[in-house]
Amino acid sequence: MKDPREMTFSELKKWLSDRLQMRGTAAADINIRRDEAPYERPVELWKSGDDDFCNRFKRAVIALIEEAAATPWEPAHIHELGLLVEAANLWETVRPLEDIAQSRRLLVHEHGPQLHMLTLRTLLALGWKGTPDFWLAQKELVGSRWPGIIFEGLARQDLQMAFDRLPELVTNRETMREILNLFPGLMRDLKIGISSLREMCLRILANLPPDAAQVMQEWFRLRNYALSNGLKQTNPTLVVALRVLLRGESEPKIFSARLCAKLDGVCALPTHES
Amino acid sequence: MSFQAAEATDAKLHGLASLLHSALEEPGYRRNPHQIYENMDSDPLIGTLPDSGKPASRIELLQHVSKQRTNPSAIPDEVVLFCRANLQRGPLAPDADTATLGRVQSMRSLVNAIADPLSGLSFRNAEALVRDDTSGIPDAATKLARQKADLAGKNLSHYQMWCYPAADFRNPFHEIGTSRTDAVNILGLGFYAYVAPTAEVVRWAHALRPLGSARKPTAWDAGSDKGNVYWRPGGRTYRLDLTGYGVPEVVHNPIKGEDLIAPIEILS
Repeated sequence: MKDPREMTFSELKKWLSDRLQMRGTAAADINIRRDEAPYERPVELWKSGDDDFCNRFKRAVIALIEEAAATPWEPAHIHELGLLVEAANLWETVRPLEDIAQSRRLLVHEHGPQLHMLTLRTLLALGWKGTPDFWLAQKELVGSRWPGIIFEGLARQDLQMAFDRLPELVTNRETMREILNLFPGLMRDLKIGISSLREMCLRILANLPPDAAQVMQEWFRLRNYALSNGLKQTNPTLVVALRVLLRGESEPKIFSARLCAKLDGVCALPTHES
Repeated sequence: MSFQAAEATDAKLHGLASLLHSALEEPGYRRNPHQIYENMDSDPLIGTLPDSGKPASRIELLQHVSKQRTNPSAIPDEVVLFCRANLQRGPLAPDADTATLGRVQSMRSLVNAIADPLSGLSFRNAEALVRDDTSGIPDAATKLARQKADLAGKNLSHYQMWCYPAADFRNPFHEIGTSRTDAVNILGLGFYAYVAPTAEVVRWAHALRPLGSARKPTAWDAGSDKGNVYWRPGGRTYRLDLTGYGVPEVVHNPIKGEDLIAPIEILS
């Protein structure tokens, strides 16, 4: 097998195509025993390649995206192509991916909704934002099976809006789980804490189907956060901690006369002597 | 019982055992550069000639690579493809269906498996989920409950799993030690010791579902992929740090998050 770094554009495109589809000798060096994914080696080559190779690689990937959408690949293979794009962070692929998503052309094929979802997932992985209308329009296309994609897309616009729409997106335990599994990534990307998520979840909890609400409550319970409507504003753990800390103290133990003084130097607070 | 014996049964295969011996050489493995050939040549679970219900035979491999007789550089790839077509053909491992099985694999492969083609999770989101479920949770019972809930329905590996039946289900990691180094050495995971020594590695324990089965691995399961020189036939792992065997091993199809018995933990 020729070193992929020495391959021409056509050879590289064929090698990538065969490898991502686990075909023939192009996939022979994928190590099954250690569970290596087909996209890993190409990404390693991309990261260490020179400019010429990287240009050929980018062109080959873009050509494959167009090819994979024209005569659709199997979902598992489009998935590998998407992981490659994500791992290599190939922003240049946004345009063809967006074109595929906007045209909705994958939907007419077998496994169409899944292929469409994988396109949207890859766009999100690249940091593409879209518009609120775009994401809301995806609801009828993939929303019943993959509401998390729409939730994540809306969250990229406005987290509050995404939560406001959440009760429309969630229909049962499974779809709720799909969205809950996004929470760790949301916390990382949006730099928000679990308390913020909890507040937003509390606001919509009553509007969820009962089994979905139960799954959401369980998610927070397993993270030591209660999620019930009676505790909307306060973190009970914090309240308990403050009570323990401040028990029996009606006035500060220590204060500085300088910090508490009026302009004339006289202490503004009542003292034990006064 | 060897490739030479297989070759001797068919004149058309003359000289192929020697070609195979050269093609599978791994000069970098100083203990025995011909280890992979010898594994296939000596595995007692593999026969010389086809036998119904048994793993593919040596003569079948020779026949498969014979089309590359004039192009020996293509033989290693053909061997890989042959092995892939003959996974999990060893005998059933007795009692594996009721055993607690320990598993060690890379964090990356775990995340790859969770970001599967049916999931809306990208790799980054799948990684965030796994890290959320494995880090900063001191209580093992809570960690397990979270992982079983969050990873329910998700395969934890892409291809077949290599595992060891734990001797004591109450302490399933006893035999592989407490550190990454111990686990890698005892399980003979040379790739993680020498090729990717900094790769993040995780462990867990699971059970097979009712009617699930595990099989003893053959040399076809081990294959000839780079880094598999550290494997030995015989049904036990081969230690990296000592000249000797480690723990029993089996192969089976991927399990799902709800099959976990002991939580996924990152080995350090």
